[in-house]
Amino acid sequence: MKLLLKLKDQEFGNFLKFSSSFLIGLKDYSVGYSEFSIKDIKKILEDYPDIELFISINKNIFNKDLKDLEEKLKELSKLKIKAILFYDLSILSLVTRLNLNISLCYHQTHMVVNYNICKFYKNLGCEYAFLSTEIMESEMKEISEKTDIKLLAYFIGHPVISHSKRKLVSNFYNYKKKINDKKINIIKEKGKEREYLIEENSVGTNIYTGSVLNGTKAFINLKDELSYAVLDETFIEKDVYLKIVSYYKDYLDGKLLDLKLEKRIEDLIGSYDGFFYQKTIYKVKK
Amino acid sequence: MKRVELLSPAGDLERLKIACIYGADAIYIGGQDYSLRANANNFSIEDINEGCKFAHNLGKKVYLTLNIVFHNEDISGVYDYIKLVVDAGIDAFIVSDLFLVNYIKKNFQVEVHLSTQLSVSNKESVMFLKNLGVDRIVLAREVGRNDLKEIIKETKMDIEVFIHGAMCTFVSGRCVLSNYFTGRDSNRGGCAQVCRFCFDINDEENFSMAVKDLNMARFISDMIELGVKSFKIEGRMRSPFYLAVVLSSYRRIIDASYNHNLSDEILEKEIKILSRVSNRENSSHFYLKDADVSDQYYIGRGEASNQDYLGIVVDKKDNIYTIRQRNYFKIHDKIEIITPNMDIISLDVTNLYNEKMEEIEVANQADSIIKMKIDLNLPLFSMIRVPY
Repeated sequence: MKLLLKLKDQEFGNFLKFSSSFLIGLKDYSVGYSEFSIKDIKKILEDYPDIELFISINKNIFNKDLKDLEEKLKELSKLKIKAILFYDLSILSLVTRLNLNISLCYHQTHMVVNYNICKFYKNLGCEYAFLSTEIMESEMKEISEKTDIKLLAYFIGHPVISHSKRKLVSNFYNYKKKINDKKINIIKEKGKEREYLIEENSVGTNIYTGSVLNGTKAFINLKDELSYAVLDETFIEKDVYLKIVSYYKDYLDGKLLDLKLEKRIEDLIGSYDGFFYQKTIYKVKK
Repeated sequence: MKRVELLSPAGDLERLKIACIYGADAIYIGGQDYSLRANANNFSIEDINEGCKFAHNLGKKVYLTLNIVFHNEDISGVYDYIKLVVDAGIDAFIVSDLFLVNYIKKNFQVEVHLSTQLSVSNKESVMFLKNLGVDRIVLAREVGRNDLKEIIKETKMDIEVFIHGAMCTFVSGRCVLSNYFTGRDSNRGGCAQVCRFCFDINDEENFSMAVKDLNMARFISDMIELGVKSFKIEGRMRSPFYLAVVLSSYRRIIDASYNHNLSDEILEKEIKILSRVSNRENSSHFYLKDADVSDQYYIGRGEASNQDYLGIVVDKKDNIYTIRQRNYFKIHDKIEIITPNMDIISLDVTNLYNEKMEEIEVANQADSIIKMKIDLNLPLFSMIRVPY
């Protein structure tokens, strides 16, 4: 398994000794990613010609976006990018219909939860699938065993847990007739302590977990099953993130044992492990 | 020209029958597995079979939701289940996991409709899905009028849109707040409606993400003109009364649109009826503009309780009607009876009996059975309400 670093800025140079695989969002077309324009992407590839660059285009696409999206895909097809992660089917459709030289990664955030859907997209020409953060380690293992699509999974960071086209934060402050200049806001359910992060951008509102997901145990158990482990820097202090990445690299190089890696990461970010070992329920009636 | 379909939800067999007789052209239901309303009563195979027979006899269709996002553990039983429900008579499946499209189209002669859970919002995606064999698409709730018009014109795809009921704050399929706040899987039917919870944000109290309900009554004629194929009403867990009132109202609006006699007066009257049966304010959300602060709902979970619904006729023998009571009423009250034929009959309550035909003064136990002598020929499933 390789480390796929989802960075919040262009300081790729700081991380090249740990990994050469990076994941960024395309400006105005991504949900939950730091955004880079085509010009930025060209510059990154000039500065770091040997990296594997994955680009997320994961917002919902509307008719008015299609022409510009087509142009951007054509431009990206001429660059040496590793793959485009897509949410909206229009991207798969355009890449196929225009016969563009682009590898695709199925990235419908919370929907990538079974082996049949991975097989389905593999048959449509997708090379990769980015697994949902709401499935268990055992489910990821089963998907890996039953498909031959290359799998990405998210192990460190604050995952996006909901996305709206509405401007939920500014709507509220408008209603209150108050000014809010915070980019990242914190919400808490009334009477509860757990915090969540909420932000607005050009495509709407995103909510993220307040706790940092620590999937280190699952990373260790799945290291031979998956192709890429996504480590997300967003909302994490740079020095902490650097340490996380360096420990993961040491582990993959055989310089750290399983328990040692787990202990070091837990000391840095805590032990919140999301749904890796927690089964969701959906029927509450007896 | 084929008229637009009025598509109703039904949470159980009784509601399916009510939907059929109160004006729906088709009904969507959930089975006991694989449906996004896992906590509704839902339909057994026997119920589906009986429901399909009832609906088909009246020339109506029945669609089955198979629209959970499947986890590995859900897959093994689904193929047998599909065969069972096709044999039981359903006319179409509503799916969100695309791996099911090929399987169903290859093996069965039924339609496949794509759920709004996949949030299809542009013509390129619609064409892609059409080429995959999808027969109908329920578009994303965020699609506005211009996009809707262009999609229908350029793809010629059968398009279904929501016209009435609760709205999601977040893009369908892109919200797992329920998973993180309650451990209940929103994409497998366990949604706990966390968007309607009350929050603090930064240093402010009472932050809410809740949105108003959808009400598209004013745009029915417009959407018929645009070529929408099906108007969908939200709410498989809604009461029989709600269904009867909402369906009758939209039935009248649709029929008047086709008959070119939908006056402002008729429309305003129907909108008033629709508003009265709802317990939240409503808006048209993304249809004409991007949704904004006017579409939000900032009064927490405090929704207006509606006690208009007094009971439903569930049996009759001669002039003795058996009624399942819902809200309080008593001797000498004035009531209205609405019937599937769209009649509205005003009455004074002159007699009331319990199940054993003993005289009573008040009906005050929700869901209890009462009886009334009424010298009228009322159809089964007539509804009793307070006078409007």
